[in-house]
Amino acid sequence: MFIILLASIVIVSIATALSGSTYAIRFATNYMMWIALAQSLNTITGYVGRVDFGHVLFFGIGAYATAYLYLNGVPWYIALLAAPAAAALAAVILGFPTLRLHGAYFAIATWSFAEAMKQIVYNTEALGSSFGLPIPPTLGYISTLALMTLVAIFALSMNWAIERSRLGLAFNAIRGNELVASTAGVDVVRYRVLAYALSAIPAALAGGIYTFWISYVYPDDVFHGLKTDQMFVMTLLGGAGSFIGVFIGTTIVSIVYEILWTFFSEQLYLVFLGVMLMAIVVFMPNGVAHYMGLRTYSARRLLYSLIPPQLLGYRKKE
Amino acid sequence: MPSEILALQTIVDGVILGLIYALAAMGLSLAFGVMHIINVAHGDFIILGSFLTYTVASIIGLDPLLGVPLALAVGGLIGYGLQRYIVNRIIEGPPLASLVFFFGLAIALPNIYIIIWGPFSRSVTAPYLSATYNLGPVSLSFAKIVAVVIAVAAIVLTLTIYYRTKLGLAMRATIQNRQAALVFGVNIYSVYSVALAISLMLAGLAGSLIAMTLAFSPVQGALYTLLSFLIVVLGGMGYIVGSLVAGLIMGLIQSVTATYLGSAYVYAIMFMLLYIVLLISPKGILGRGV
Repeated sequence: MFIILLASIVIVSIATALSGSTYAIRFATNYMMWIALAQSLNTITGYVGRVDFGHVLFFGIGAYATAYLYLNGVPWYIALLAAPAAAALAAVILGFPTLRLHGAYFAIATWSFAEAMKQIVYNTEALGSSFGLPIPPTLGYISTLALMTLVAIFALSMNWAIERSRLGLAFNAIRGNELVASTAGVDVVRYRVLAYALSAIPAALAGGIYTFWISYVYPDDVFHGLKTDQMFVMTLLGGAGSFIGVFIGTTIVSIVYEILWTFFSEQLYLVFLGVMLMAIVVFMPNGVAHYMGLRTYSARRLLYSLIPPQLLGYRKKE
Repeated sequence: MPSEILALQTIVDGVILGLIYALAAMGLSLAFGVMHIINVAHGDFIILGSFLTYTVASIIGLDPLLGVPLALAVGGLIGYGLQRYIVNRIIEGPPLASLVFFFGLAIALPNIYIIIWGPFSRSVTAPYLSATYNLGPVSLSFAKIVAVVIAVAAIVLTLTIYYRTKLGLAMRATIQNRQAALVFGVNIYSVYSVALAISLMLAGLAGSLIAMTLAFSPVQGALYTLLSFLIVVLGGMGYIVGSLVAGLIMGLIQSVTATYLGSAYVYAIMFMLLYIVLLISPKGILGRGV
């Protein structure tokens, strides 16, 4: 299932690049970016169960770190790699105290931090205040698409690996009950900070590439709460805690966005996004993946029965 | 302007702002206390009150003060209907379902406002509202005087309902212990519906007063949501007297920061404060949690 998923992403990406249509390339780049962003929210919200209303913070930090370094003469690939480092560092510093908070308190703390960061950038001259930083064109559209595809693959692989490892087991234990998890020997503080840092990485990489793609970063865009909102709809529609579910959610929302945005208006799309979120909670709180549970499970079993477990790098349950 | 008079003016403005914030925050706090839901669309209902007042005054052309009863009525109806027909169904579901539900509402509402009323920043005024009066060294517009009177009346009324009526008793019982309240014959679901109705009435009223004294725009809801949270967290979640006190403190902080440091820092300072308070003492600085 995982291999088929990656292959289809690569095929979509190559096909659009070959088609040469600017519209198709723009759509595909955007799609890859949202795969990475939704999966990055899934890491903290899906596996560890922490509702992060300020996840756009890492996207913004990634975008600004890349832009700032690049404008100060650092080569683009190093500037790009600094983005996840900066975001992961921020996640550790912020997460260490904040992750003690639970449920809604954590949600509000992260939300307020993303807003505060936006206000700090507004008032920092070195980061261009509210006007932002213009970036000279560096990468072509095709290489941007290629990089975004790599980040999407990275995010998917990361979550795939988490789901199949002891790490994922520890995350799920924390989601279930922290006290029980710590009794069972899970170092709760370390693992939840680790999850938060891991969740920051794909978001920051996407932010860094976004900088070169749009060639202009400004706080109202890269710290916009709407980006968090959209990550949430994708994650919850698909089913938080399942990378395939979130991938399906991302695909549905991306296509709907394209249709509504092209034929109607951005506002209508956003109304739709909100109504969709409410409908998901009321009518199908477990997401699409839940209804496909049986099928994905049997398909996965079938695939794994063909491959020796040693090759997959994990031990089968005795 | 001499510095003492500037200081006095700053404090009076801060108290007026604080009263409006307190209205908004008491509503949010009540909803949290009774139902344990966090209404992240609270600020958007505040803005709804502002737009209703704007509609009455600038589109229909009636007296802006008629917007106040309209905002109250619409807030109450929406709150009751929302809780009774939708939120009561999901409240026993997965723990964060209601949070995400209101989050969806918080995305949809501002865009509905933009579709209906356009994206512009607006304010509501009338000749007699913008007339200024001098009270000693302090000068106040009539709109601000009206806002103080209405806000104080609404706060007193809310506290009376909360502490002196059977309905208030049922609410306080539900806050203390849901199960026990149920055993003693409180219909908690109907208490929930009335609580959200009162909560959104207070939000609508705050919005109406904001429209007359400040400017507002459709996307400002999130800001007021965070501001209300800050106040509620400061005063202690679900403790409405705490929200009243913390609201006044917040209004003063905002007014003083804007006068002496510059308005660019107001929100940065407030959000940092929220962050610090959440970290140090999630039960609120006034010490009485739920």
